[in-house]
Amino acid sequence: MRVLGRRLLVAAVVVAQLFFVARGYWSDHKEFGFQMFPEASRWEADIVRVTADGRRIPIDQPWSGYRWEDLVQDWGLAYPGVRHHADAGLDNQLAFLDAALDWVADHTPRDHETRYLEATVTTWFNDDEPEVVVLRSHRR
Amino acid sequence: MSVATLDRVDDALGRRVSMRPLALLRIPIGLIALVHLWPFLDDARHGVQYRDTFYEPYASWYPELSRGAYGVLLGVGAVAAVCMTLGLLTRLACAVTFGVVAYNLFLSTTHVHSNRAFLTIVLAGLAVAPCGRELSLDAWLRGRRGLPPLDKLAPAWPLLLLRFEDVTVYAASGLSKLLDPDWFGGTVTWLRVVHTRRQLEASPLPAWVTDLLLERGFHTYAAKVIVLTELFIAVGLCFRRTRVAAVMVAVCFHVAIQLTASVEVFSYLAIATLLIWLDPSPPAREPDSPSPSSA
Repeated sequence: MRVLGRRLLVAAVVVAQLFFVARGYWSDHKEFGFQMFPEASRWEADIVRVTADGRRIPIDQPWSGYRWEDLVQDWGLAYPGVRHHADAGLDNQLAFLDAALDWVADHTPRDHETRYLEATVTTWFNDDEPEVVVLRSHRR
Repeated sequence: MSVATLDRVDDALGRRVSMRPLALLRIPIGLIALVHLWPFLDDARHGVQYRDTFYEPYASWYPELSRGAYGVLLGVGAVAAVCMTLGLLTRLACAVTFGVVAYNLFLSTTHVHSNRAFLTIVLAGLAVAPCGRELSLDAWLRGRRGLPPLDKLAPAWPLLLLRFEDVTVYAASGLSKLLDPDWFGGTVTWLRVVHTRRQLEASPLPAWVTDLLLERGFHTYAAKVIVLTELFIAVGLCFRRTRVAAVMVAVCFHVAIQLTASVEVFSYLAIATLLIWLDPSPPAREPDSPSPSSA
């Protein structure tokens, strides 16, 4: 029984680890995939709040007592208007930015005018030509 | 898989080996865990926690503690990490350190970095191995009480699993670069240097070195050296004949990374983890040594 348990535990760890390594090739977040320094890609984003009356207000202006850089700090997201290196790759960076837009939309209760946040992201995948992606938070 | 092969695997996993490599590893890993936890603890002491800014839970059911309890948990983790290094209540200390680091890691996708994931794996390995029976306060206190030393041999499977994980880190990293034409062709390393041109030119490096590093052609070769170095370490660690060379190359490799990149605790962690490649063969029994207890 002890031998069987040990065998199963070791097999589970090995299979799980190999799965996570393989998953690193398709997942945005490459947990336990150990792909170090994967890209030299960069990104920058213009983020606006889109209000009910259609105004598009840049998030570098404080609103309702909130400041973007106080709300979002990790992974180079505090100052999205500055061009940043995508530390763990562009897919990872865009996934974080997308999630951050939703988080800010959900965690700014004093803001009664914003309908959604929108990021116009310019990305440079290694030395490729720049591409533009638009990300939106869910509607509030 | 044949029965004979399974038997051989079982023999290898169950073979009793010296836990000294893991006892040695435990000492720096406790300190590294403390260094890892410290920024979280320091923030918590100043009333700042992960939930105050953007974070992204992996699952809605993942338990989140109250602000006070989270701070206490980090404090407990830090104390356990120190106990781990000292070898005081070692089994409990290793388990608690692992638990706190793992809990904190999985609180948010933003918490997960490769170095933290690897630290969690190493802590898990130490938590399941009897790594406090030597080089520890536990062993010293036991001796002072006149009790016989505990058996320093134990089944090899935790050590073998940690070795597998260590090889995986180098192999996965090297393989991902080998399969990426931009990496293997030098584009990635060249651009990384070009993007830091200003810092490079302001550094005390001689001008010819700066020029060389900014030269794209140089990276055509340098990138291949980096990739093959990682793969050599992964393969070299697996074989006795090449193990010493692989360890030496790995140390140089991590020193170079530490000098040129910001990788949190990764360099220290990776170098410390090389201790698991020490020979764990049981030492020859000294004729007059006291017989160990397996209690």
